[in-house]
Amino acid sequence: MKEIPKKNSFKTPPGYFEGLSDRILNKLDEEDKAVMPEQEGFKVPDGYFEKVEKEILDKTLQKEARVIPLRGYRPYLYAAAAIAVLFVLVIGLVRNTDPDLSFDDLAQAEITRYIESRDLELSTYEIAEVLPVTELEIGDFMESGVENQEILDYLEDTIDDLEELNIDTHEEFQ
Amino acid sequence: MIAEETLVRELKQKETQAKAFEVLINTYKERLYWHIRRIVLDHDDADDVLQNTFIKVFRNIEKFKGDSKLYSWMYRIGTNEALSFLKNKSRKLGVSSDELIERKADNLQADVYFEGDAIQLKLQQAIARLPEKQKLVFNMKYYEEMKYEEIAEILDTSIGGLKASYHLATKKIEAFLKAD
Repeated sequence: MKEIPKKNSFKTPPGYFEGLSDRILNKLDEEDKAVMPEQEGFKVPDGYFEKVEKEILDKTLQKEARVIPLRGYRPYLYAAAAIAVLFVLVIGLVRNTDPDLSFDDLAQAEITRYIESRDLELSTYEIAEVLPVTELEIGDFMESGVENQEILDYLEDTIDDLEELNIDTHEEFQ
Repeated sequence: MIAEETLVRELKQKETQAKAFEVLINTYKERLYWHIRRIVLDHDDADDVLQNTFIKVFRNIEKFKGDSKLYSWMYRIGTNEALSFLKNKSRKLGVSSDELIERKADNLQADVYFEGDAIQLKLQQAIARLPEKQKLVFNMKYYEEMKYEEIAEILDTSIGGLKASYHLATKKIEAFLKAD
């Protein structure tokens, strides 16, 4: 054994080791491709890439042209926001201290619209409560006039103390 | 093609911005679209993310300092947008991002914009089941044929780590494809 010189009798083609790693990687790739398809199968709608370019430009450049940068106004914005908050608070407080709303606060048109939009059967007492008596004539309610005697008869039938009524009425309409 | 430095300079100047942005979209729309599509899988989501990516690029071009290549920066924005999109969508649906993407892959057959055969469908299902980083690396290396150096710049990671990720990904995919 010792007589045999320790020499490698095998040899390789010239430049074998230089390109070895690349060849191994290529082989790996080929093996992978044999198992895995190169095409994915995805597709896009017709004309998509032309359309998307326009959409992006619309959302950036076109939009940019219309937008006024707010950076320079920022200090004023904070002040404006603070004033707006104060304003809302003050309005809220003032409103809360207001007396309850009365019927007089309603616009005549609103009352008319309300009455017309509903099938209301108002009694004369209810109407009398709503409308100012001084501006009314008896004819506003009744098509035929009422004779004085009829009124007296009615009052005698319904009021216990006619004298008292006369005094009150007299005082009120002075 | 217009040199990258020139394009970046023109993008930052008001007078040349509009034209330069059109050039930018024209140059990168398809490559970015396919990169995003491979992450989100369906066309409508890819369309949303692509548009958001370009809008973000437009809004942030002033911040681009040129430390990396412009397309690497855009790919990074596109990748982040796509991953965030999936996270938001999965949160709304009450599932994890991984679950969402697996479901999407399993439903590709019903997608009008997918015309792959059985093996292509199975490949997408296999990719969908990879961990996020392996998925990205596999798609960028295998389909987009990027160099490891480019992928490293986009994903901000080491080349050694990328090679390991790609190797692991291919092994898992092969195993999935040979499974039945």
